[in-house]
Amino acid sequence: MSDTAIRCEQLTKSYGAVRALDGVDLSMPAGSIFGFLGPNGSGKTTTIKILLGLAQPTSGRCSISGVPVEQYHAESRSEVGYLAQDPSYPRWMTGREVLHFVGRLYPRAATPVADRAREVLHLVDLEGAADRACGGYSAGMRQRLGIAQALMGEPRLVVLDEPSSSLDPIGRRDVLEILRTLRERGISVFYSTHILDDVERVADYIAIMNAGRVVREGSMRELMSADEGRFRVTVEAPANGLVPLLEALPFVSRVEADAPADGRVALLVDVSDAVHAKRALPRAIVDADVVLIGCAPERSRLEDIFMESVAHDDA
Amino acid sequence: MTTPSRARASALPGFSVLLDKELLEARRSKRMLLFLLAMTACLVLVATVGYLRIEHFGTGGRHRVSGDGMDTLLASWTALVGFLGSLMVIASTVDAMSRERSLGISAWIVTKPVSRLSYLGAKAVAHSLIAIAMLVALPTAIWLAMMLALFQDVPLARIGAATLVLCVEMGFLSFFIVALGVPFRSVPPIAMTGLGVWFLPNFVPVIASLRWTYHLLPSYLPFVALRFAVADHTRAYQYTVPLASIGIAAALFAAAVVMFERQEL
Repeated sequence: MSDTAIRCEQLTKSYGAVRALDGVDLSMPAGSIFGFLGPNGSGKTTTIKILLGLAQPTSGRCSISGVPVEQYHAESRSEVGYLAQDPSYPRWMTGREVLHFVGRLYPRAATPVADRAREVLHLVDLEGAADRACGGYSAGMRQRLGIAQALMGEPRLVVLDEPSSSLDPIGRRDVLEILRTLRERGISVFYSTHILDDVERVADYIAIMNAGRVVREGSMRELMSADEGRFRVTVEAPANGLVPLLEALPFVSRVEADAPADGRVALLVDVSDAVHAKRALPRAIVDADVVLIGCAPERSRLEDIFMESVAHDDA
Repeated sequence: MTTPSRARASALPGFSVLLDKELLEARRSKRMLLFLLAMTACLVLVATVGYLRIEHFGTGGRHRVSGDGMDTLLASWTALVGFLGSLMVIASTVDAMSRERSLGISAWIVTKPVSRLSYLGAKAVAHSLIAIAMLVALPTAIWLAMMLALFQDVPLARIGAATLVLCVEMGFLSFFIVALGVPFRSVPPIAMTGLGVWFLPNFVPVIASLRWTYHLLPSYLPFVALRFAVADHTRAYQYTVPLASIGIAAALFAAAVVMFERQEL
């Protein structure tokens, strides 16, 4: 089995004069949750369509578990489960019938279809509505059924296009829990979404798309710790004279003050030596006779990384 | 990882499951039930009106009618099944592809371990079987039972031959309309093209130099069925038209499959 669940190399896709994908390179490690981010029209769905064989690339290569997508025969697709952005199923079928229909398309799956259907219905908490026609399902129920059907073939890779877009906060939390469960079972999850908070909570790796290109890619740990040169300092107000004092420290390059609130003052302090600053910065504040409430490296938020990457690329 | 070579074991992966789905959908479809009832009611009416109105002779329950009287009954049957049935097939098949494509159901299905040929083939085969069963076999069986109960000397062999031609017609139209769902993504162009290609060629033989086309045109299938039903002697076109129709349907369907394999869903 390949260590890479998905690999795209110099993938391009043109529709006439419009270049939807412009040399996409990405690599998704097997067994991880991969957040695939990007503004509308950035090429996320086109990339997914190419991965699933629903569209052909203009040039470039794409492989799943080491097998080039163009060699992917119909029966090889049992490796991959897919949830579309706006899932729709035959309205006259019940949820359970949809799952049985999908299950029968995977004759090599180890577990009997009825047992698999019961298991995934339980996983997505749709047992109560399983015998109702899915034409009457709400958007959230359709999303849950979509996740359930994607798992019916016991896949090694699940591709989810906006799986929690139609869900309420409880539904979203449940979906994230399901994704974690899948990862624990060794299933790779390729997860396209606009909800950055969700990605921040579950993803191991992310790629940010903009205008048909991957503008940032890496592990969440790397990307989130990339800004360790900034500390958030919270002290009790008043803190007169603290800002010039901190600016005078040799390892401090810049101090930015937030407006005082609730009797507290927050400062964002950019430092050149984060390791040294961890010890020296609190000491300097205490020595200045200011009541220190907190001093910790400012963790980047995914939203900041996303906005910065997209803005930088647009510029 | 399943290797591509191993996966080639099945020529039509998923075909039987997709066929089951289509047949199940037809069984639950109110539209097909309505067409079945309408066609059966029309044929029952033909036999009943024939019994009441056509001049007959002899005594007892089962009447003997003249050759012309029997021909009128048989012509009414073939015209109803051949022409009304063709409209019903087009109406029942016209959105078979477009509805699933617009909802993303076809894209969803072909990401499963099925081939696009299986998907398209299952639709065409299922609609053919449904049309044959609901618009030809069941109504004709009921009509024939009435004919045998009401009349003497019902020509079973001729009715059997005509029924076969009507089955070819339903199969041709089902494959043709499903195939039209590949280049056209919405109902109006499929319906317009289907109706146009089905009815307009009947005017072609008006041009003397094009009269040979009646040996080949699928739109002549109802006339061929009529000819089998009412005439004792057969002519060449009674065999060439059904055979050409099967060939044309196969060619159109093959072209649609090739196009569908390359289409973005």
